[in-house]
Amino acid sequence: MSTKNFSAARLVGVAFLFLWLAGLNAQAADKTLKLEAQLVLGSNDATTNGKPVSPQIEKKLKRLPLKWQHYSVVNEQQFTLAKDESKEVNLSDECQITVTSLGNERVKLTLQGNGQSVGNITQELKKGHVLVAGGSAGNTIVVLRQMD
Amino acid sequence: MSGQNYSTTDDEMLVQAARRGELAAFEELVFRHRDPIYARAFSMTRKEQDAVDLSQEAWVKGWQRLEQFQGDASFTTWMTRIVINLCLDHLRKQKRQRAESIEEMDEESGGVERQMPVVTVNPTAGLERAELRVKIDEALGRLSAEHRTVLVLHEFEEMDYKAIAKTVGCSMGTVMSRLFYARRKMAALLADMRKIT
Amino acid sequence: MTQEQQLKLQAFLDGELAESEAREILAWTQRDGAAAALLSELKNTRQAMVQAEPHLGVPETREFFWSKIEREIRRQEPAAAAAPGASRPAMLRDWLLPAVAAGALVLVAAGLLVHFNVPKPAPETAADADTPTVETTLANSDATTYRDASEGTTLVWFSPAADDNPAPNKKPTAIN
Repeated sequence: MSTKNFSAARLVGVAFLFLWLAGLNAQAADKTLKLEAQLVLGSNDATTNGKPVSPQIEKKLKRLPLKWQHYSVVNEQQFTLAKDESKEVNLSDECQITVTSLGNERVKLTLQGNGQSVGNITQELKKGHVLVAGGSAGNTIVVLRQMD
Repeated sequence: MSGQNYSTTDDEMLVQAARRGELAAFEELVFRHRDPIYARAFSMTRKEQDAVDLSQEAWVKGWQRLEQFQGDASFTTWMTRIVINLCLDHLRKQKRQRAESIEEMDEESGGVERQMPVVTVNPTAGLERAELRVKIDEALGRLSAEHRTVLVLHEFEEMDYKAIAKTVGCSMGTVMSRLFYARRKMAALLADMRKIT
Repeated sequence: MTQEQQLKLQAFLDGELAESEAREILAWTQRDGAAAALLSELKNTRQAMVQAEPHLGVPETREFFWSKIEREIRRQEPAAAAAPGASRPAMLRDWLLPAVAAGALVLVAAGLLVHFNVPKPAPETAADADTPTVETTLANSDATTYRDASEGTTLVWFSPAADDNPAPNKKPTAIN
């Protein structure tokens, strides 16, 4: 194979690679997100009743600079969001969230405490990644993730 | 963040390094002394989040005023003065926002504590130190902010009447009466707890 | 017992009286049972407090507690490391090297984008995709962001700002 042919083959390969990447990118932008939102109670009491969070989530939470050692699920909801779609989720009487899919696996999470908006977070949320929001409701935090 | 390990450096050297702008040296000072500074803020405000916020604010002020630290007192004492002043400001602002409390009216009119029977048995005798700490903490939480402040400054900070009056911004007479009522109330609260347990 | 006498008794306990006055009070407590009992109660209370000051620790991890202090220092003093007397090595380490590294990363990323003609990200993703954009909507509130890149976890903590000392232009900042 001549050098010229080799270069041409490589160019075609790169072009295919580019097309594949572009395709993936377009897919990701329009992808419907399957999300799970959990209201999690933090505690230092190992005997706290309630369903413990999954080991994967627990590992992540324990690495955060939070003051609790134990985490249990108070409420959890699963939902899907198409691009530009929003969903209001009631996690408790005091805690509501609104999640919007912005495309490219980016989400906007609006946290509400007692019906009052506390703040917004816009973040890329890849599979395996977790977004944790808290501060407005005592010992509870909101955990948002993409479902597997 | 500096890669230098300051864990074995003494406070004086850390202060010098922090004055030169070494944030890592200041971080080490924060790490070493954060608990007593927080504890003082908590003993005055009795609110965990307020105590965290005020102690953090004190550390920021400490950084800004490092040039003023002369080394006459220990670094912790110096930082404690800063957090006390911030707590006093905080309590004053809170006080302005609420109606005059019953305790204050009591204090002006002589107070119920003056007529309370004397607690003849030492309510803390025979208690383990840890148990006593818990009871004192609980009793402190039941005092008004004004009474608690004077008590904390006198018993924990070992300030004399004059220094307390200057710090709090009131007369020596007020310091004396607040301290008296605070002690009497503490005695009664500790005696009550003894009865319950 | 009058209020003045009670306060004198306390001042005696606290060592706030002149010697002559202290002698008078001592004599009084020796002949008056009520004065002696009150003095004993005050003494017990004082002793209990001095001996057993509650020991408390900051209810936050070292990193989280310090991150808020550091953020505030840098916010109030944008060139914290360039404060009067700041050392050049500290400035270099804290600001210049990260800036150069960030600049190099941006250049490499820009080069790659141009080279491969990857579709342009949405406007908000032009910033670091891993860094969340946080907005507080309550007056006098603040937000602290913490990233654990290795675990892919982002923590955003909303907290009310101290209303007694509102810091101007309190914007949430990422702590990575």
